[in-house]
Amino acid sequence: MENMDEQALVAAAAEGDVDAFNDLVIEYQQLAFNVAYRILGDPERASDATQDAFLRGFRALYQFRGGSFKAWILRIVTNCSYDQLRARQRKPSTPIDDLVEDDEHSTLLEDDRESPEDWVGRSELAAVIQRGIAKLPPEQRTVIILSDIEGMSYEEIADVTVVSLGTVKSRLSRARAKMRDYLADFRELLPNADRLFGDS
Amino acid sequence: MVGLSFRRQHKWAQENLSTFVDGRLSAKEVNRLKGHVEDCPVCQRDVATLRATKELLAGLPMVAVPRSFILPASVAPEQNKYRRTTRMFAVMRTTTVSAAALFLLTFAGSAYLSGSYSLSMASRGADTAPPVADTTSENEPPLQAVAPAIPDYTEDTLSTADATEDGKTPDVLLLDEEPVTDALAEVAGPQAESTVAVAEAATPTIEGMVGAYGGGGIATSSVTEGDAGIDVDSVSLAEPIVMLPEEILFGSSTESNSETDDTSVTNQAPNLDTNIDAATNQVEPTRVAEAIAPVTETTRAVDLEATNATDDVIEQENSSAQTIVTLRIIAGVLGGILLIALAGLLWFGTARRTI
Repeated sequence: MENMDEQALVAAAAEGDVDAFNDLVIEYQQLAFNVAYRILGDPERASDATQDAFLRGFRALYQFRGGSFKAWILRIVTNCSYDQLRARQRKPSTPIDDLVEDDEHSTLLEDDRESPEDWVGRSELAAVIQRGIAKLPPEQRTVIILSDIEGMSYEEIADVTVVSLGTVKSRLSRARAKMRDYLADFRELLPNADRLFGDS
Repeated sequence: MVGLSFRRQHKWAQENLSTFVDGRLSAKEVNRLKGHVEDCPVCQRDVATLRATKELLAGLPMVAVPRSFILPASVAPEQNKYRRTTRMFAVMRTTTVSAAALFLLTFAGSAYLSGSYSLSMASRGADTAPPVADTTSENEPPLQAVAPAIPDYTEDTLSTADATEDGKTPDVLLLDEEPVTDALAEVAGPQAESTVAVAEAATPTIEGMVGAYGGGGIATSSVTEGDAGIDVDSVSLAEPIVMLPEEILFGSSTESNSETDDTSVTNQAPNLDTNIDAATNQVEPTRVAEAIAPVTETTRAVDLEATNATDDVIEQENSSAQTIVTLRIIAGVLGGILLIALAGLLWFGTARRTI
């Protein structure tokens, strides 16, 4: 989407134009849902968080003061995901271990050339990684998702999480170190594990 | 020293390996880190594993959305509703802060004025007598009681006058050397003295009496005490000396009795006249009444002056009291506004969900 188009859509949506806002929803719903899904590890809750985030975004759009709409809507998505996390702590539901296997919408299945064994291996690895992410504190979890999974820059992450660049760096460093130590216990699932993680 | 430097470099490298993997270190920092990593197998391994971790995470596929998140057209009014809620929240927040600040200011002002007012009243209360109207109304003996008692004091007074010549302290102010105006000024003493005088007037004793005999002389000229041959307007000592309580003669015309109200002041004159009449009836009504007349006029003049001063003080006190009451009312209203604003803040704050 062209930046000018996005600004025009935001302006129209801020005046109550639902159609204009829905164009923005279509543009960012994939990213928003994936971030929510990685934070929550639960497609149902991620779906609720994403829908709630877009609704909150539409209501509060008149408060948007310019800048990156992507960062702004992702900030709402992360806040809604934290709300879901807190709700889950009060009322636990589906265990994280069962999530990835139940995810029929995952693009893991989209590659027809992949053998069932490879798919099982990749699926298992994805589940392991998701469990590792779930073990991180929410703040570190968000930073590593935005950086290493969504490929966002430090500046964008700082914009989304409303923290300084130094905080982003330190949170990312600690999150990666924890993920590295966690994944070292699942060496048999990792491709080229010996090359990547050595013998120790 | 080398070991210490290495550990310091290692710690710094460990903190910056992640940023190094992302290629976000400056050239100077990269050189410093590479200089350490070349000699540190732990850091070499950590760089590799961090890169592998990043690659693994980046390799996670994008998950397809389970459904569309397009909003229905029915949500359009919610934007205005949220906007109004947020605006009300801001209004309540501002109102709460303002009301709290004004409430504290008003409350503090009221407390300060109350404190000043109480101190003023306390200090005044220590220096002044209680209102004469109250005291005299309670303690002043009835005229019937005063008049019959007068002859009883006559002999004592004479004997006391004689005793004074012997250098003893007189028990009665038979004939004061000072003019009445000075005597009036003396009466304006501390509260304790006035109170004693009034109390004594209630049970007439010699100390509480002023010689009414020769009252004209008191008002018009100086009369020498102990002078058996006092010749004051042809009244001789052979005639009975009429004693009147000090309070009856001078009423409340004292500076100290500043709280005397109008009623007590005006009531004093009839008392004075009546008492004088009652007393002089025992002696020589016409002459004594004529002699007393200037005293009465002087007393009334002083009474009027004191009453005017008292009115000013009372007016100031009333003004202070009204200010305190007004401030307390304002504080109460502000307190109510504060409570309402707090309730609104809670209500709209709950309805207003943060993004």
